[in-house]
Amino acid sequence: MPDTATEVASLVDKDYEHGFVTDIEADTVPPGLNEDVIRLISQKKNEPDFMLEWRLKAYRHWLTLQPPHWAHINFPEIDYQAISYYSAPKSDKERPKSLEEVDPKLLETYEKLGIPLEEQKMLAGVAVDAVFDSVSVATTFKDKLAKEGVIFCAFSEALQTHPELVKQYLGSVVPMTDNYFATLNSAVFSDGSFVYIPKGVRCPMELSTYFRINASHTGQFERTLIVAEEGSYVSYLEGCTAPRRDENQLHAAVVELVALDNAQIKYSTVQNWYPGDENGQGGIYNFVTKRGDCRGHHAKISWTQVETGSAITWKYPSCVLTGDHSVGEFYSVALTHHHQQADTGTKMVHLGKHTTSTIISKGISAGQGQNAYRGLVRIAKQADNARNYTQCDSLLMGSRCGAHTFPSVEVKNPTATLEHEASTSKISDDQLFYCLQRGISEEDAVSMIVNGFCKEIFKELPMEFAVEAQKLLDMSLEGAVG
Amino acid sequence: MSFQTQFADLVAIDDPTLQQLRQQAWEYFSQSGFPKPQLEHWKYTNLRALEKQSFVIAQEQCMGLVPDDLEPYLMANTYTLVFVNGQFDPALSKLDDLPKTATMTNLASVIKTDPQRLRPHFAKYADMSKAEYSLTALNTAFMTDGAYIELNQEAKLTKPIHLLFVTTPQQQSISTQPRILIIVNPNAKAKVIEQYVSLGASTYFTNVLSEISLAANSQLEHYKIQQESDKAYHIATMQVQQQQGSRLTDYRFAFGALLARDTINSILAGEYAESDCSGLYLGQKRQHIDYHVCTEHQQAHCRSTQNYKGVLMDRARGVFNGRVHVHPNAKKTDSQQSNKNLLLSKDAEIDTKPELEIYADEVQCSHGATVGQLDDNMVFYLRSRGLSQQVARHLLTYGFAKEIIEGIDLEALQMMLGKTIAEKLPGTEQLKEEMEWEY
Amino acid sequence: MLTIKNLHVEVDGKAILKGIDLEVHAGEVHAIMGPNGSGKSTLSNVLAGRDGYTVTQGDVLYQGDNLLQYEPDERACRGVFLAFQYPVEIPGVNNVYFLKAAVNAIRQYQGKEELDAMDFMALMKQKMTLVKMDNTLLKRSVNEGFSGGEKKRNEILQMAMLDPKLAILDETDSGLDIDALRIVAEGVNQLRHSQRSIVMVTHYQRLLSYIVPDYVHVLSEGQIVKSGDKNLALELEEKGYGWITEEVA
Repeated sequence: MPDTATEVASLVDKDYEHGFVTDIEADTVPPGLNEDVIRLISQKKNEPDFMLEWRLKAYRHWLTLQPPHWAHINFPEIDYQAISYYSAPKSDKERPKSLEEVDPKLLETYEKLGIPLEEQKMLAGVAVDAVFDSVSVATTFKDKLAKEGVIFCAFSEALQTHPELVKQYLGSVVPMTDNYFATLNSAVFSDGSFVYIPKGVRCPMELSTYFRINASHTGQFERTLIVAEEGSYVSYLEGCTAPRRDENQLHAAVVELVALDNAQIKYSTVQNWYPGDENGQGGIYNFVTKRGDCRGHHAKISWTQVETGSAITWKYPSCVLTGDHSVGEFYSVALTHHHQQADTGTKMVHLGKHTTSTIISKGISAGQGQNAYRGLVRIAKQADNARNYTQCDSLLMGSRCGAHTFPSVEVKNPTATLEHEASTSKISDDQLFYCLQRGISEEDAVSMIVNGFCKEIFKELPMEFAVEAQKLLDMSLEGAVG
Repeated sequence: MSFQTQFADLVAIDDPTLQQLRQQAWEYFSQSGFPKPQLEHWKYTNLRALEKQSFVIAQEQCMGLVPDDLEPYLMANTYTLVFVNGQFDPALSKLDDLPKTATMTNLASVIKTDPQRLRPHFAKYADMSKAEYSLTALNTAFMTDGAYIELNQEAKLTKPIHLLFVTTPQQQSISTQPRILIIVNPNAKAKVIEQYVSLGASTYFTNVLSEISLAANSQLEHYKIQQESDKAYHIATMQVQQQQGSRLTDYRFAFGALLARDTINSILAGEYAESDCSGLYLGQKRQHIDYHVCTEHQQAHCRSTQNYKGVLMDRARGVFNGRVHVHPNAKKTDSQQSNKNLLLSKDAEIDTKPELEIYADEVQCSHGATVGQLDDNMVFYLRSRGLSQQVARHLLTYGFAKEIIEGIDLEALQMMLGKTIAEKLPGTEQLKEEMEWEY
Repeated sequence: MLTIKNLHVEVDGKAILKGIDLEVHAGEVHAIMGPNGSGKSTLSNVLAGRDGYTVTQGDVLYQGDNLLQYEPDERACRGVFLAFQYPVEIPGVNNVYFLKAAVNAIRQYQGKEELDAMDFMALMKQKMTLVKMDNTLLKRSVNEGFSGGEKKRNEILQMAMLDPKLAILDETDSGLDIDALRIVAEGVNQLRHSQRSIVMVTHYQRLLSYIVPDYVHVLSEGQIVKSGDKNLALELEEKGYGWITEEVA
């Protein structure tokens, strides 16, 4: 703890660490959205026909939709014609075969981000599929994974090498018509990750992708699809940072998970997109649709997220518990500071019998931040003996922030047992005084208490992620005390 | 719905201010119509079936009702105002030895004789401009009668006031729009029991609107007992404005109606105000019962509780939406919210949304909601003492429901409620006996 | 009265009792002692018929009849009483009514006439003095808001009212201060008679100074490893459970 605290002290008023722009010539489509743009995206990626058809269908549906307004967030109308829907580094024309071939500037960017691929390869044993803006530029550890039959590659690559798998599962969890942003993503998604774990395989390492939005005015629309066959296991880590920009940038990703019989998927996110400055200028609009389907019996999907970034976060990683005895989990820490707004939570839809879900959500609001938990637990008529436990705790720091809880519980089966608890409080003067009296500075004390508040969630993260999450939290809370 | 044609027929009741208000209300209602499920607050309660029915505005008073007809509902030792099909019936009411410190009369007579008196409070609290409150507008456009209760400063009534709304069987389905105004001036104290009963099994529509003003340090204990016919539609909206140090205790019970929706909005507009709201919904057959309770903490140092329980049987559906809204300067807010539900049938359903919206720090707010069955440990304990599985379950269900009435300090009312609860639940005979030991 | 033969019990697939043999005759008081986790509470719960305990082997005969075939309430009606270690709170259910319903359910099962309110109250008043129970507890819900001592006294009051043939007292001394323990023990002693057997399950010896048992058995890892008279309890008090387990090993 003292280490973290020292670091916090030295970081006071430090600017957003990851705010720099990499000067690479990008192959960017002019702003605007129409069918031609979609054809162009598909053509540039040399996609199979079914993919183009799918995109066009989604686009046509999107035209009929209105942006949603129900979330507890405020932002000006987005001009979707002012966004450029495709941006790839020029060097993409000759895809790098290995890290050595990667544009050194890119690698330098990753160095600055603190995710040197080389180092990470050796130290953490993490295979990284780095998405730089929209196209995957480097993928490591492929060989080792290939030996186990694990497919871990860029989405665009999967469309070339395993089109049948993509066709089978794409849109099967998040239909292209699901919601405004998911539909937009379905039409224009650029790239993302594809993971396939064969039957009975325990993926030998944590799979990790760092997303990064770079070019100005470029919406990023990743699409991730993870399929875990019968009896398999995979842990997937997603980290996000974006350089600072004055304009708000739209990020509308879709993540789909499919877990078959006895399969287990653990999906962890540390989201640190640019949150905007202390006056609420700039920052990412993070409108993400994440959903997992426990399609087989005894399948399990866990979402763990630490959300400290973005001007606006709008995401509800959800589980559809289709298989009997399947399990869904959602662990979340969301922090909003300055003018950040977060409207996040989960949906647990119990369809199978003996299904269980757990929701633990921790919201921290500081400055003028607004933090809302929005959740739905639905027990369908046929879902006998379903269980849910939900706990939502909010911590308020300062008198101008807000913490909100909007849970919905819908039960159509009398054998269900559900429990929902929530509390809202501030760091008590007694707690602070106790720490001060023992010689701990106010800043350290707050850091300690906040980390204690989030401990339940951090312990769900892989070790190196947990450390990063803790640091992020401390950094994001700078100047929140007093 | 034939409201449109009927509005024109409605005899305008003198006072131009009121006429204007009615006109305005009618415009709001005409624009929005009945609330639609697209509105967040009506998501789980669809009024299409109600909208499709046609109702006539009850105007003719039902003659010939004698006190004996109401015997099961009359309470001893109360001031009683009886309304038959929405109209005040002085003959059935019991208003002898009224204290000088309080006014309790019917609204129509105030409108007629002293409309000025309504000005400071009437239609001042309940919002009718939003689509979700269009039934408030409907009430305002069509209301003709109801209760007017005002307690002078320092007045402390010893007897409760019983407002009994009776619907009698009619040729046509009727709609009534009762309106209640309760004004409790500083340091005054009152108890009001509001009860809705039906003498037949007809289809009708009650749309009641209550506005309550609690001045500084005043206290109101309010009980609402809904026992409408099982074909009736019952919509009740209560808007409470609370000043500094005032205290509201609200109990409500939903036993009857095919579809019932209660909306409570209580505004804690002064510091140290307190609001304790609790209720029970027992749904049977195809009943749909919806409670929407919102507490607005606008000022610091206020305390509130929301404590609701539901038992859903047969094909009944329950909806609970509790909301606590803590405004930016409402420091030292203390708020607790709880909603517990038992589902006793595979076709029953519950939708619950316990919400917190908090814009101030230094608050202690918590909420909890549960849906489930009877506790296995309790069932085993009872069985280990020789009670059969079935008896144990009946008893525990009754205990679950009855907990809500335990804090009521009007003994006769508490007993009546205990009996009514027992009658609605399985194992009635046994439960009635249990009650005898209680009192 | 009670014969347990080679009883094996599993909880969640884990073997807890691994072959218990016990013979209790009418009028006897047996103490079953043992360290935490030895299976004491499992034994009480199996005898009373709680769900979640699977008998994999062995028999339990009560008055010559297979006890295990009966539902929990039938066992109660046949005279088996369990005083709970943690008496359950039941909000909203009146304490006296509960007891009356239980008394009459059992009387009905046994073919006796049900007690009317008057007779019941008379009996109740008489039994209440046994455990020095306060009248105010009668108005309250079952065990709700009762202190630890009040709950245990309420258990003994129920025992007195239900008049069982076999009473199992599960850790009745836990959570009691010395005064409350005395009152409870005194109540139990007055309920001892030649036609009633009592099985006391306890971790500590102290209860046995007040309710003196005829036999003492030591339960360890699901088996009765030693039996003796009251002196065995004293020995345990002095030396702890360690020596027995060692001796057995």
